[in-house]
Amino acid sequence: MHNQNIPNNEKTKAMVKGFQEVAQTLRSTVTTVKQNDITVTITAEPMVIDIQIGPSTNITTLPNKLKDCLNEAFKESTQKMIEAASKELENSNR
Amino acid sequence: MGNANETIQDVQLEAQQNPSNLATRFIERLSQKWDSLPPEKRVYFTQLGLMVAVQAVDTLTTYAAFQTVPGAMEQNPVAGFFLDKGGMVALGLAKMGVAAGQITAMELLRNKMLNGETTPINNNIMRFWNSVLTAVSVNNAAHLLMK
Repeated sequence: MHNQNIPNNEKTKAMVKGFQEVAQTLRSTVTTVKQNDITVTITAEPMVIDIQIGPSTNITTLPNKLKDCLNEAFKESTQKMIEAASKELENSNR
Repeated sequence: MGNANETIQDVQLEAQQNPSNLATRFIERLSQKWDSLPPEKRVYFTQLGLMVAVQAVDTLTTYAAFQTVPGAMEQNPVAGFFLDKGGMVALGLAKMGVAAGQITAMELLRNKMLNGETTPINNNIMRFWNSVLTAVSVNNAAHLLMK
């Protein structure tokens, strides 16, 4: 059904609620990726909240390894969000 | 294309077999359920759609298929900025952001039009929405694409 009869102030409240819900979900969705002796933890905002580098990591290879690890984390984080959204969508107004 | 009887298990199975289809299937399911979602859920899923947009380029066509706002948002100032600064990659991302922004603004504009209230002020509201959402989209995409 359409929501054409909802007053605009109610619609604004609904939008604010929606954005708050999005923000909360993004902040609480945490993804950790470990590869090449580097561990990265991010939220879906996206915000990097932790980076751990193993003692064996060479300083000359660190930038590329860190870049790869971060990119993988962002990719997994996005996929995680989409999967969670798919579940929620499936449960909405069945 | 997805079908209405598809379950979340089907979606997840396909996601494991072909991750690049995950975003597309999500958008297809969203388009099927769009009319039944309450306003706050439309905002929620539209924002998630921004993440989808930066992940899979082909979702753009699906976005365009079910959003109904005509082309007024092409004058989006943020999109223009990124076009000037970032070339084709930025243009693509900005356009996806615009498409997603149109979805969020769709109900707002539709109500205004139905009430005969399509004034320049309302068009500016639309542009504002699109600017914000495009900025969010490009910000997220930048993290994914910068190498």
